[in-house]
Amino acid sequence: MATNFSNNNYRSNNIGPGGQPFINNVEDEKKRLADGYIAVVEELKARWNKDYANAQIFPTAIASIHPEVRDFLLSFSLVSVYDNIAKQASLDVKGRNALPQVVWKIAQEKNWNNLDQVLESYLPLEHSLQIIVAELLQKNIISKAKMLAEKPVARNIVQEKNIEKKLLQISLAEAIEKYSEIQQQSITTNQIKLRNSSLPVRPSIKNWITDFHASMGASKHSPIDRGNFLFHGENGKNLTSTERQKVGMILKSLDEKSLLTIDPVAQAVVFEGSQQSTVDKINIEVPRENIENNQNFHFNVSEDEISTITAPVEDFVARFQQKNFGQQTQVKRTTLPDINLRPTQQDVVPTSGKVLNTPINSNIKTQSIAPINQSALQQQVEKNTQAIKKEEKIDNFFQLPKSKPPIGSEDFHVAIAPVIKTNLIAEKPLISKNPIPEKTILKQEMPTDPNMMSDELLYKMIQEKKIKQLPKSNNGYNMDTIIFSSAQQLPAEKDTKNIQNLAQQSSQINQKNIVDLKH
Amino acid sequence: MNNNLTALEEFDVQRKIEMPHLLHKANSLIAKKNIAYVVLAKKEDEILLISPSGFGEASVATGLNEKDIEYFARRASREHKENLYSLIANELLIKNIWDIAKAMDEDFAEGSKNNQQRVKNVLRYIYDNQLVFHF
Repeated sequence: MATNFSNNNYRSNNIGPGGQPFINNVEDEKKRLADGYIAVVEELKARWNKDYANAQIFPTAIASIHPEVRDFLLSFSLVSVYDNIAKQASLDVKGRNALPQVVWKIAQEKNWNNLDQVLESYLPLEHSLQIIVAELLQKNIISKAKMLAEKPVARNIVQEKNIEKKLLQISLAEAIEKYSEIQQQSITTNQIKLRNSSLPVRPSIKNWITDFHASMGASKHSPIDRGNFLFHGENGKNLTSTERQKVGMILKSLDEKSLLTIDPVAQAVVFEGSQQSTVDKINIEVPRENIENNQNFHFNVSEDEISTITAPVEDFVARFQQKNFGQQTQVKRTTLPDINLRPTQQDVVPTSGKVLNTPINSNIKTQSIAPINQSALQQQVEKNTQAIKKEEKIDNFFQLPKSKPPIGSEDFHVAIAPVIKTNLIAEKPLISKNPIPEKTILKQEMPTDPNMMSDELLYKMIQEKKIKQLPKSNNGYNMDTIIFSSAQQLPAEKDTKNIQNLAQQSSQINQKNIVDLKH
Repeated sequence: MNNNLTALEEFDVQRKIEMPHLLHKANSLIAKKNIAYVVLAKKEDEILLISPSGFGEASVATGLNEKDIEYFARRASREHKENLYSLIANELLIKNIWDIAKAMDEDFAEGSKNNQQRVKNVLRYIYDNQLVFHF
């Protein structure tokens, strides 16, 4: 609450020579206090209106009653009306207290013609007395309430419109000056880290500005500076596009004093663009000229959803078009999985505002298509992308990885790498306990020119030459060619170890035989 | 908002508006009666500025008049209304209200029952429209 501390001098002005206040200043003093009281009351009223703007005033059952009927039933004059009815019908206190309950019950149920039954349930009386009470209630209260209930409800709508119209268009600095609470408004979801604080803080406007000034300096910034902060800053790089847009609007208003929409009642910045993106729906029409009867497809998808949906869809469409038209002779046309929601739409995936020149399926019917569920659309997109990925996996399954060029070699180039041809595609898995038939093993055509060889082939060739040059043992195994890759034995290494044992055993036998022969 | 009050004066005014039930510490009938007078002097729109806890005090309820309670029923929040309703649902506190009203009448001419009649009307109104006060 703002207080004027500079007015403390009034005391010294009011004190006379004898220490007594001047009598002629008492009236001024009273006036000052009265004015101050009024000012404080007005300030508290404004605060109360803000604090209780969305407070619940009535219970749900009462809130559903027509506002004018509710106002009428809440008027204090009805207390005396009930008293008079009770007096005329000679009702006791209990009978008198039941009358307002009857009226409220009828107003809640809006059953204005059911007075007799409700009255009977609340106040069992003699028939003649009941008729009198019913007539008095009907005449004094029910008929008027019924009349008010038939009026259209326009009051709240007008009030809401007035509230909506009170939005202001001012710069951020001006808004903070007038409505200090705006600084505390959170504009992003996750907490942010400030340079001078070890703990993450609330993503309020104030903290974002603090972070911006700490990162980019307090002087005026260019759009590039703001862009760098938003996209490469420690906090900015983690933002979503909507959040980045919000922070960008705030920073732009801070630097360039651009206007923001401010709600003075809620003391908050209204981000219209971001709200529309989440609330408003875009009606996407995909005209299909090739389809009989010129059918149109309508999808209600929000902007945010489009950004997540269109990426895989466009990817899918590009691949699909390439497969169907660019390489129609090489690749067999992909059959997409059936869709229950779109049984006749297998050939086309609609995108935002794009017309796909895909061939028409002869099975396409001219019947109207129901609007597609958004989640179903997403699921379908995922299915399609998965189908393509699966297909790619199958195509590349038996291809050997290409060798990398050796470091420093100038002769070797990927373009002249040896082409590995598969003569026969094995159906059996490569890893099997049974020996693989010779005809199913992949065969390679060895290039004769060493310049055309890959590293692997060259290495193999050199190894083979070395093996040929080395003297062979009696049992045919060359011990130097057996390589132990690591201390931990692999299944393949176990075999080599057995071979090694066999070789040792055979060499021992040979030595024994030689010794025997010598003897 | 700027006003010409000192900080102490402003605090005093604010306390008087928002927490009249805490103005007098003594739990005597005279203190309660004074609080009721403070509340009675308020306009109906100022009544809502009293903190919700204040409506749980018999002295505050005694200071309400017909206009105040009608305004209160139409605009007060659930918290305010529930406190007031819990007050009048308590027989002991109702007795306190009657005692304060009688004491107020005794300040005027002998046999005056204006304050008692006012309190009776207010309580009658709350009973009649208890659906609005009781959530």
